[in-house]
Formats: sequence, structure tokens, C-alpha cells
Amino acid sequence: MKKEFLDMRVRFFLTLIVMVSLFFLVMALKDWGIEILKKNQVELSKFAGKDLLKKLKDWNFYIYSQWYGKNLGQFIPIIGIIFAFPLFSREIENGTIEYLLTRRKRSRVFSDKVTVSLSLLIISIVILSLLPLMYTTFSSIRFNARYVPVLTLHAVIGSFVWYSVALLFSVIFNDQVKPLLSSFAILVITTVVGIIKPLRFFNTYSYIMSAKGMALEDITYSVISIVFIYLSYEIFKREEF
Amino acid sequence: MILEVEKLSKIYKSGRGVKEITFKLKEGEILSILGPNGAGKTTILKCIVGLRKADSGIVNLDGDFSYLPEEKRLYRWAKVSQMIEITKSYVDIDDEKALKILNDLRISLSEKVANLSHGQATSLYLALTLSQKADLYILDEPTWGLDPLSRSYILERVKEIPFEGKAVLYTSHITEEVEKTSDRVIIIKDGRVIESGYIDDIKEKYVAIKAKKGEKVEGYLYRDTSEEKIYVVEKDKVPRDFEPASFSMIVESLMRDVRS
Repeated sequence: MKKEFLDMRVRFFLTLIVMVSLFFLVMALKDWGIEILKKNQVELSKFAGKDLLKKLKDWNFYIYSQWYGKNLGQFIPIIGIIFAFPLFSREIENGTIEYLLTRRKRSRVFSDKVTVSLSLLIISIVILSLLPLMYTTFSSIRFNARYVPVLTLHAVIGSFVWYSVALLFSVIFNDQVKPLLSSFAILVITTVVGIIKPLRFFNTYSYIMSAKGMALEDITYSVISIVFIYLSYEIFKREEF
Repeated sequence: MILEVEKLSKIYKSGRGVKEITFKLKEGEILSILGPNGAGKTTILKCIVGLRKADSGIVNLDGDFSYLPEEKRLYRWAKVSQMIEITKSYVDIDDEKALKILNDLRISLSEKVANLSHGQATSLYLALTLSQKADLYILDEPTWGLDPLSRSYILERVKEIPFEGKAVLYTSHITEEVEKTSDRVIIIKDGRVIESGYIDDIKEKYVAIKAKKGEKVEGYLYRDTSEEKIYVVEKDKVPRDFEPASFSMIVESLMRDVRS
């Protein structure tokens, strides 16, 4: 498992550094952003309502809409994909898979990789979801964390879905570019398809960014992810290198 | 018997592969698979270690193996010392032996794998493979890309393995190397075994004869000059005077497989 952690460390720390920096940037730019919007108030009121600016001044609205609903929210699937796409494809592309598979059982190689990467993914997502809570605790900002547990759960499950999709492609393809592009293509397609109301389920963004409890979606998305991971394992077990 | 391979076949979509390969390997023995590039040597090894699935045939491996692949790729982000640590976390390795080989081949533990030359990376992979505690060492072209000194050093280490009661299965396309290190050899061409046995027996089996222009000889053509042709022929089929044939001469002629 040590090797898997060493393999993942750059992705893990870089994701955290970029996202934490983004969070502080979002927090620091609150007043500046509102000032910019004020200058375009007339145009803004046409499509965003008259009281948006008033709402944005409120820290609760600002954090929920700008962090959970925008910056972190939109990166959740991408973080899931980034953590999974090179797991096997990089070993295959670089030829190190032979070193690994002739020194470890395939089931162990698979479980080590999935355990370490999934643990680091969940740790990252939980840290990033709890970031506003940590930040506001140590600052003078009053923040109502009522929706944080649900949003954190959705972020974890949402990232899990896209992790499992990218993992499947990582096992199937022999290079790193194809799993990355295929996962992004599926993300774009499902998001667009999900605009159609009866197919809303496909749009994982509406789930990830929703602060409402959605037990059916929680279970369905989790089961789908587990099925994808199991499929990846079955393919990996039979794959020739 | 540490390894028994019976009628192993593996054909790729391209039509290439290996057909009905059969051999056995016992403790304390070095067996080489010799053949030109693309003959199927690596496919046989990959089927034995489980990287490829054979279409048919049986592979019985009784014990642990240590494998050196043809493409000797390690983690570029790791240092040499980290590669030892990583390997130790997977398999049982003899630290002292690994460190000695690395020291003898002048590879620094603090060096990054990405900064090693091709030959040094091969040496590191060899150090990891040879220091692994195993019953069978499966080495695919172990000396490819090594300088002459490192090559002879590694060959010496390989020759020591049978004295510890362990076996070596080894592929190469360098005839002289195989002759120096191995007890037995399997010569393959286009995925099929064309000759096998103890090297001394093979050398005993074939001889060289010179044929005059127009003369028909039942053998394998070795040299064709304007004045004469040299054939490698099975000794018991030789009707007249002959000269001893070197092992490389026999292998080269069998592989070329040009008959009169």
C-alpha cells in the first residue's frame, strides 16, 4: 500500500492545494465580486432577480451558492476522475504492470489501488466540504452549517460515481489519455442528457449541488459505483498484459 | 520437477504465437530458450508467470518464481532505495544480495530511477529479481542493453543460482551467452520448437560439411560462397568426411532453416 500512496501523493496534495487556494480566493473575492455585479445591476436583475446582490452579501448564501453550488460543486466529478483515470492505465502505459503483477496477486493489486485511492479521494472531498465550517469557526463569520452534512454526503457519493466510471476506463484502456477523455465525454453527455426532465437522474451535478436529502439517489448512485468497481475488477482479473 | 510445460499454445490475432511447447525444468538447472526476435520466447514466459493466458496446454509451477520481463520498466518517480523498499513490501528479498549487486554495478541508492541509463535500470531490475527469494528465476533477455562488464557480472550471478538448488529459465537471442551459462536449451522458431536438449548433446548431434558446387546435401545451409557451401548436418546422416560444428553455427543454421 505504501507504493500506492507514493503513487497518489502528487495528485492528492495538488488537488488539495489547488482547491483550498480556490476556496480562499472565493472567500477573499466576496466584496469585490459584489461590487462588480453592482455595476451591472440592471442586466443582472433581468435574469437573476432583483435581490441576488442582497442575498450574496449574506455569508450563508454566499458560501452555499459560491462554494458548494459553484466552485467545489463543479469540481467534484472532475476530482473523482482525476483520482481514478491513471490507476491502471499508467501502469499499463509505462510497462510497470508486469513488475507489479508478477510480485503480487491480481486481487491484491486491485484492492490496494482502490483502497488507497478511494480513501484519499474521500479524505479530500470531506476536507474540501468541511472547509467553510473550519474557516468560519476560526474567523468572525457566522455560518449556519445546517446543509453541510447533506452536501458532504452528496459530494462524496458524486465523486465516487465518477471515480468508478474513470476506474473502469482505466482498466480497459492501455494509455492514460483515453480513460481521461472517455470519462469527461461521459460526464458531458450525461450532464446534457440530464437537462431533459425525465432523464434528470443522469445529471449528477443536480444531485451533488442539492442540499435536500435524497435517499433514493444516494443508494442508486452508490450501487452503480459499486457495480462499476466490480466490473473493473472482473475485467482486470482476465486482462492480458 | 519445478516447472512442467506441456503442449502450451498461444496464438495472437495476427497469427503469431507459440504452438505446442513442451519442456520440463528441475532444481539446480539452467534452461535457455533460444530464438530469433519474434520467435515466441517472451510469450512462453508470460504464459508461465500468468501475464498471458494460454489457449491450451498445461503449466505446472511448483514453487515461487522471480521474474525479469523483457521490458525492464520500474517506477520513474522512485529512488533506487525506494524500489528496494517497495519490492520488499511485495516479496521476500535478500537485502544484502541486492545491495551487493547494486554496489558492484556502481548504482547509487539515492539515484532516481528516471535518471538511470537503460543499462543501469536493467541492472537495478536484475538486482531486485536476483535477490528475490524464489525457487525459479525466469529471466527474459537479462543482459540486453548491458555493457560487457555488467553482462559478464550478471551472467556469473546467474550461473551461481543452480548451486543454491534453484532453477533458471532464461531467454536470449545471443548464442554464445546461452552456451556459456546453460545446461539445456530449447531452440524455437516461428513459435515452434525446432531443437532441444543438452547443449553438449546438440553439439554432438550435428557436424559441418563442405559441399561442392551442384552437390545435394541433406542438411541446413550455413554459408554459401561462390566456391563452396557449408552445411550443418545430423552426424548419423553424413555419408563422408565432416568437421565439428560450433554451437553458434548449429543454432544459426537451424534458425535460418535453408535446406538444399
